[in-house]
This record gives sequence, C-alpha cells and structure tokens, in this order.
Amino acid sequence: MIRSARALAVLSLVALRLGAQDTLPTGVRIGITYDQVSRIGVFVTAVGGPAGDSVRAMLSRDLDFGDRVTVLSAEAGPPPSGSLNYDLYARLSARAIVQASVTPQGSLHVAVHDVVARRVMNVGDFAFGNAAPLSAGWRMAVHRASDEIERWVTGTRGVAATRIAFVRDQRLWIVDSDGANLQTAGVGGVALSPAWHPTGRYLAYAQMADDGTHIAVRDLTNGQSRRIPDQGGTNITPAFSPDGSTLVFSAGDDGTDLFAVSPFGGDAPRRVTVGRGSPTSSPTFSPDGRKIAFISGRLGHPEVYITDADGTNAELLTAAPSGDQPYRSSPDWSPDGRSVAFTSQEGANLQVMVINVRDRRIRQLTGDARNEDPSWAPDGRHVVFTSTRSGAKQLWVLDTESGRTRQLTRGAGTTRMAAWSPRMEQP
Amino acid sequence: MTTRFVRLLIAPAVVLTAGACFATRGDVRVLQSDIGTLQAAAARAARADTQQSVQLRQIVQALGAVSDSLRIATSTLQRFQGDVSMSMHGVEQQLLTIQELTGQSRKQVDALRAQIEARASDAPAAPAAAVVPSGVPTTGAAPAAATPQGAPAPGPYQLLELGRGQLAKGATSAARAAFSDLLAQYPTSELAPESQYWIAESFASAGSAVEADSVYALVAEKYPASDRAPTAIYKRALALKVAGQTRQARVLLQQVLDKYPKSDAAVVAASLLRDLK
Repeated sequence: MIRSARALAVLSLVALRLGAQDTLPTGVRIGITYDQVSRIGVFVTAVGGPAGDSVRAMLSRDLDFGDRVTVLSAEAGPPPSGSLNYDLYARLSARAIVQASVTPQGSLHVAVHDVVARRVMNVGDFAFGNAAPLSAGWRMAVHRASDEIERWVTGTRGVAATRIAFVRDQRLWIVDSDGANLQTAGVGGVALSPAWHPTGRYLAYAQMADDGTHIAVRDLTNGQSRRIPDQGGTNITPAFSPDGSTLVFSAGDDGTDLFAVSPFGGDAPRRVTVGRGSPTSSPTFSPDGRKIAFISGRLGHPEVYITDADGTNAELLTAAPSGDQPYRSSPDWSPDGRSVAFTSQEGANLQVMVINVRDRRIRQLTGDARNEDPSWAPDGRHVVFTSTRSGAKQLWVLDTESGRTRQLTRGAGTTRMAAWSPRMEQP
Repeated sequence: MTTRFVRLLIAPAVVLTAGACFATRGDVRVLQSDIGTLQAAAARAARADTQQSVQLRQIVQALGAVSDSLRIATSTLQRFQGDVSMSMHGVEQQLLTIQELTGQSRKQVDALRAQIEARASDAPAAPAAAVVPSGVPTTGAAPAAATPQGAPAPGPYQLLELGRGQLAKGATSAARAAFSDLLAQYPTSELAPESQYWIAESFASAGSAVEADSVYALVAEKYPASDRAPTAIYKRALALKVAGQTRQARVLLQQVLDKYPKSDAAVVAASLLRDLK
C-alpha cells in the first residue's frame, strides 16, 4: 500500500488550480519526487525582492545537497502573502514551508512553518551586509540561511556555508560547497596540500620554491601570506589543530617526520614523530586535538598510524593482512572523532575507505573509477574526494549515509587535494 | 385421708376471702400512694434511660469521630509510608543506575574475561602460553593461573588488550582495573611495565594529572630498563612544561637524553629541549 503510494507519488506531476493569494497560480505544475529514504518534505515558496528567484534556487539546492530533506517547490509564481493554506501544503506532503523574502534593509528574512502544527516554527534574518546581489558575500549569507533552516527542520545544521579548497594544475583554488563562486586563492607559484584553519580565515599550504618547499599560512581576509619557520628540505602537508594554535606538517631530507609549530609565530618547530628515515606525512588531528593520524612508511609501505599529539604512543591503525602491502594515504579524521577516511590501493585502483578508530573495522566508500584524497565536511556525513569517474580528475561529494554523489567541480585541468572548510561563521 | 386434708385447706381460704371484702378507705389511700410512688419511680427510671441513651449516642458519635480521625491518620500515615517507600525506591533506582553506570564498564571487562575463560576452558588443555603471541615469552608470568572455578585466567596480553580497549572507549576506571589485574596476576610479566605505563595513561586520560605523574614516575623507577621508562619521563616533562615549570621540565628532558639517548623519546625530547632553551 505504502509502496504503491510512493510509486504513484514518484510519477505524479500535479497540476493544481490555485487561485487565492495563499495558493499557487493556475496552471502551475508541481513536481514531487519521493525517494526510498524517509525524509521530511520541505516546500520552498517563491521569494520576493531583488534576486528572489536566485535566493529560492539556492535555498532549494542547499537543502537538497544536505541530503536530509526532500525539497518541494513550485516552478513559478508570486510569493505567497497572508496566511498560508496549510492543508494544501500537507496534501503536497510538505511537513515544513520555507517562506523567505529579501528585505529593503538588506537582509534575508526567513520564516519556517510547521505544516502539521499549522504555525510558524522559526524565523530569522540573515544580513547581506553591503554585498551586492549574487556576489560571494551575498551567496554566503543565503547559504547560512539554508544551514539554519536545515537545523530548524531536522535538528542538524547544514554545511552549505562552507568552502572547499583544492589544487588545480598546481595552483590553489576555492569553491563554495554548491560548486559556485570558483576563485583562486591568490597564491602565486606552485602550491599544494591546502588546509583550513578552524576559523576559516586562514589557509595553510605547501609552496614550492627554488630552495625547496615551504609551509605558508595565508590570511584570506587580506591576502597576506606568512612563511612558517621550517626544517629545510621538504616541507609538506600542513594541518591545523582543532583549536588553531598549532600547525603540524611533514618535513625532512632523508625521510620525513611531523613537526609542530605555532602558525602565528613563536617557538621553533618541535618534532612529533620519529620515523628514523622513513617517510611520514599527511597529519590530521582528532577533533579533541589529543591525537594525530598520519601516513608512515616505517613498515616498508605507507599505512595510517595514530600517535598522541605529544609524539608518544604511535601505533598502526590500518593493519594490512599478512603479506599484503597496499598503498594507503591521505587520512582525514572525521569531525565526530569516530573514524578516519583514507585512500587505499584496491587492485589497480585507489578507493576511499573509512576505518572505525575504536574497533578498526574498515568500510569502502567508493568503487567506481579511481577515487582518492577524502576530506570530511563539518557535518561528519559528507566527504569530498578526487575521482576520475567523469573521465578527468574532478572533485565529487559523497553522502556517506545514502551513497548519493554529486560532482562539485568541472572544467579543464587536473583537480585534487580537496580540503573542506569549517562553517563560515562571519559574514 | 385425702378428703380430710382438702377440708383443712378450704377453711382458712374462706376466712381470708371474707376478710378482704372488708378493706378500709385508709387501706385504699395507702395503696394509691404506693402506686403513685411506683409510677414516679418508673418515670424517673425512664428519664434516666433517655439521658443514658443520649449519652451513649454521644459516646458512640464521639467514638465514630475518633475512629474517623484514626482512619484518616492511618490513611495519611499509609500515604506517607507509601511516599517514603516510593522515594526510597526512587533513590534505590537512582543508586542502581549510578552503580550500573559506574560498574558497566567493569562488567564489560568481566564479561569479556568470562568469554575468554569460557573459550579457554572449551579448548582442550589450552596452556596459558597459547594466548601469548608466538615469539613473546611470558617471562616469570604466572601461567596456568586459574579462577576459583578452575577455568584458566586471561593471559597478560588479553588483559592488556582489554585495558587498551576500555581506554579507547574512555572507560578509564575499567581500563585501570584490567591493567591492575595484569600487574596483580602477572607481576613479573614482561608486560608489567607496559601495564604500569597504561595505568598512568588512564589517569592522564581522566584528567588526573597528579596521579598520572606519580605513576609515570613509578614506571621510570620500577622499570628503568623498559622501553616505557623514557616515554614516562618525557610525559612528566611535558606535564611540567604545560604547568609552566620549565626548569624542572628541562631537567627531566635532559634525563631522557642522558639515560636513553637511542630511544624515540630522546629524539622528541631533544626537540622539545631546544624549544625550551
């Protein structure tokens, strides 16, 4: 019965005759898509004010990309005014209605209605500041509104107001979580391994120069870069501690080890690992900052290890079966602290895997084409990674709960080494 | 003879009957007075009965009121007792919950131990060494240690793994219990220094810095030849650095370099020492 109803709903393109101000205009076609996962239906109404259509499109897309609600919306029509016809929206399987408007004062006013309770669930205003419509700042304000709407409706904040830094053709780029607003990070020369500061204000990266590679930290608000005192030789794969007070990176000549330093000046780098000539790289902090996962070849092939942040108690995390010597790299500790995503050689290809830190169980997240360099979103649910499934190396986003994927970047050039930012709190 | 006896009785009866027919007016007055007296007495008795009845009714009512009061008091007392009982039950439940929470981890350890013991008892004459990885001797351990039920006790490696597992879950007390069991049952095992070290780590994980420092110190003093000794000293130095006691931290770091120059701890200690100078 339920299945048949769902199947019917999948195919339903409902033409409604809607006349009053609290209904939709005559002739509007409404598409409703049900999926197998039980999700809350959220109807996003038309948005009035400057760039209202863009606001509605962004809100709908952000909520859809969050993978927690099913977005319902009319294709066209004026924004509703007056009291809403809750019965109508209930018939459309909406549990919540998002009613937004751009105010003359330069903010986005959002009201979310509870269809079942027939009342306003929550309201909020999201300032655009002085940002022009469709500019980067304006878009981020809309993304913040989307994240709050998702929190009001589902209890979990979204990750629309985030950005992803990556390397394309050996230069640093940054793109919004929805794939829009692509721009360079403004770093000259060859740059690799971007890593976000927990505030989202700074970006650390490795830069190649004539005298070797160095670690630098760029202030994205003013474009100023600062070179970190390093160890000479190769300095790569920086990572900030969760409190932002420490930067750990890989450095060395004959083999590499991890070193910790203050990203804003102070002490000289302090050694964290003792690889004794083996390559050690790609640090990633646990969310509590007490442990670091990293890659080391001390067993003869690269595996993921865990150490206390003070350099003691190093132990193997990804133990390979006896006789097997796979290539493992690019660990990224999940925001909930429970698992570490990493790249693993599986036959002739690379795949993204995740290992439970406690019981060491490994789960394969990808299997289509070559996939590598995973980076967790702040929600601990989505992962951005590099994949060749579209033919060239591009960034893709995976919902680890539903398995749904979407392509984040397009265009020419090899795209890799993605780093998902924290939530961008400040306008 | 009978006839004569009847005649003798009839004679006085005739005399008496004849005498009664001759009662005087005075006799009648006396009789009336007596009747009046008797009637007054009867009336007084009746009045007295009424008063007693009223008094009795009042007494019964009073007794009824007292009975009601007693019933109410009893009911109140019962409710109070019930409330107290419920409160006590609630307190007991909360205590049980607390005990359950605090003992949960320990129970898990016990359950795991039980499983291990069960498996060990299922195995045909499994020696204690069978649970120790090959190539790792159980020097001085107490193999064949047995539970009171006769099942083989978990080996030192099992206890160490149990403790590490609990520590990974954040159950520091349960972890410490497992490490302590190891030390108690296998005091001369080569894992004893490791176990002592992880007791210190469990304190550190729980935020008990003072206790952790004392156990780290014990590791270095009791097992100076173990791999964990330099790490334990390094950990103490780190704690001193965090506490701002830089000079004492430097002393300990130098101690690591002097006593254990080839250890991993010496490498990181040298780096930290340069940082502190």
